[in-house]
Amino acid sequence: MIKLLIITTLLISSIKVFPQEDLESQFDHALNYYVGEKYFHAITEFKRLLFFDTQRRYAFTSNFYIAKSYKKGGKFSDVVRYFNEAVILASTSSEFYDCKIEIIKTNILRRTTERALKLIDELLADSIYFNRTNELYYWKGWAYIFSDKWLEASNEFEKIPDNQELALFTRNIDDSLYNETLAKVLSYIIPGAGQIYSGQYSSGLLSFGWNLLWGYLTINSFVEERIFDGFVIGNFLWLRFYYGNIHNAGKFVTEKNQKITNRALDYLQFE
Amino acid sequence: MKRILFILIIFPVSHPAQNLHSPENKKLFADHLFCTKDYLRAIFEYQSIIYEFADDTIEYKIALGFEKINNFDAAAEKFRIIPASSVFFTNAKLHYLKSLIQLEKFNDLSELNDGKLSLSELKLLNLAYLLNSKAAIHNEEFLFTFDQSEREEIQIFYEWKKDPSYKSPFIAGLLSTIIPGSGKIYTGELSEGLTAFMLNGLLGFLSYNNFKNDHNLRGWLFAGAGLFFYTGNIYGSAISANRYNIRIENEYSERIKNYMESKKYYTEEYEFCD
Repeated sequence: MIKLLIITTLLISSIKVFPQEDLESQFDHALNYYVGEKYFHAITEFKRLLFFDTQRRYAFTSNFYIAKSYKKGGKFSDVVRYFNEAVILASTSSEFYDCKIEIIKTNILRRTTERALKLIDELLADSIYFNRTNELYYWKGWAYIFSDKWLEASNEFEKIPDNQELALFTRNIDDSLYNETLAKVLSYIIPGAGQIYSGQYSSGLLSFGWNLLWGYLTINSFVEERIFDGFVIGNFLWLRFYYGNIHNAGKFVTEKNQKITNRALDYLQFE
Repeated sequence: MKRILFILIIFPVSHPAQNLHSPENKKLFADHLFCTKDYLRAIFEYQSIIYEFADDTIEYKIALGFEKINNFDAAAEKFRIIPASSVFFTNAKLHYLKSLIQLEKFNDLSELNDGKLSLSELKLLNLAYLLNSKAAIHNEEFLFTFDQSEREEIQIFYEWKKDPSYKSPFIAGLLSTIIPGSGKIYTGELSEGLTAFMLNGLLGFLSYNNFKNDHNLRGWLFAGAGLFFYTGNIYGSAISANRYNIRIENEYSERIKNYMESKKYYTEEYEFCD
């Protein structure tokens, strides 16, 4: 009976189950590539580990590092996919949280900020992560920055006791942005005023001049009882320049705000 | 007991630790990568073991992998060297033609017509001629290559190629010079043509009317605006003709490529993955 047991055990172990040392050395091999910033090879070797690790001992770690490597290559869809795999395999709340944060960061990077905000709110609502609220407010602020909502970002950063610098910075950016509606209303009232508000002085003056000219000619036509002439000049010339002036006012404000926010993002990235 | 001890000693020797990087395991892993559509990695793995296995399946899958990642230069090169003795040879030739078509190497394609091509290869070549040449092939010979069920659609492509119904930018400009807006109507832009006609007519009338009534400032104003819209109408008509020609060329190429895709370039698909 014992003989039979031993022989059976030996036969069963001849099935291709890789010894722990092989998988461990494969893990080290893959990790070396990751640490050495050779991310393409890191992904290959971690995928190899995943494939041969039939008992799934390294499944979480492999998926995690594959996702991290894809992130270095900017392949965000693959990043989210593999972090989601890792989430399913997470065995502790810490592992779960680490994966979720990485998914949030990736969603911010690829500007799917609505998704990032939803995930952050889910974590905030979970009482297990009560000691991580500052970090979650931090990433919520960044999600708002990437959605171009600087005031909301400032509000989130203000909730973090030791991060008032970012709160102040984002509030200053919000204050320095131009108001598109105001620009359009100004140009509606006085053609060219909206452009001058956003600093486009020559464009504003030119716009004012053209509207003055066509306005004069239109009114002059009506005064001289050349009604049809007045309608044609008013419709084909004056109205076109007038609406063009309002459109330009909005366009210049958008361009100006884009420059301000780009400079802010450059500063945040490199400082 | 001795026998059991003997087995316990011998077993580790006869079953050494499995090497994940052995050629057999690399092939298993490469197959897995191929089936999970990670073609670039699959190619690297297959290439690392190609000399360990005298296996035309590996060579074919490398070529197919390059095609899947749209590297048609490499795909063409790999399909070209599949040996005639391989079961994949016929299909490889068709994939080679497909790669050349994707690369638009029409000169290379025309050099391949040595009279020894299979029917599928001939069909592909003729479709490629439609994409490129001025249809030097005689109508009956060209159509005869295709099955009865295909001829109706191919006939449309062939007629289209013979007479593509281009619009002349010169004629469009000339028409608009004579009658403003008529050039745009010629190129199919009816509403724009009518608008140009009405606008030019209106401005011309207003200019004349103001001069007649001694309102010279407005007369010159409308004359200037009229001249501006008149020259714009001529230029716009010529541009419109060019746009029309580009559009119908693109539509034509798109339809032929869609047709070839629907026929899967007359290739056979092998099921390498379960």
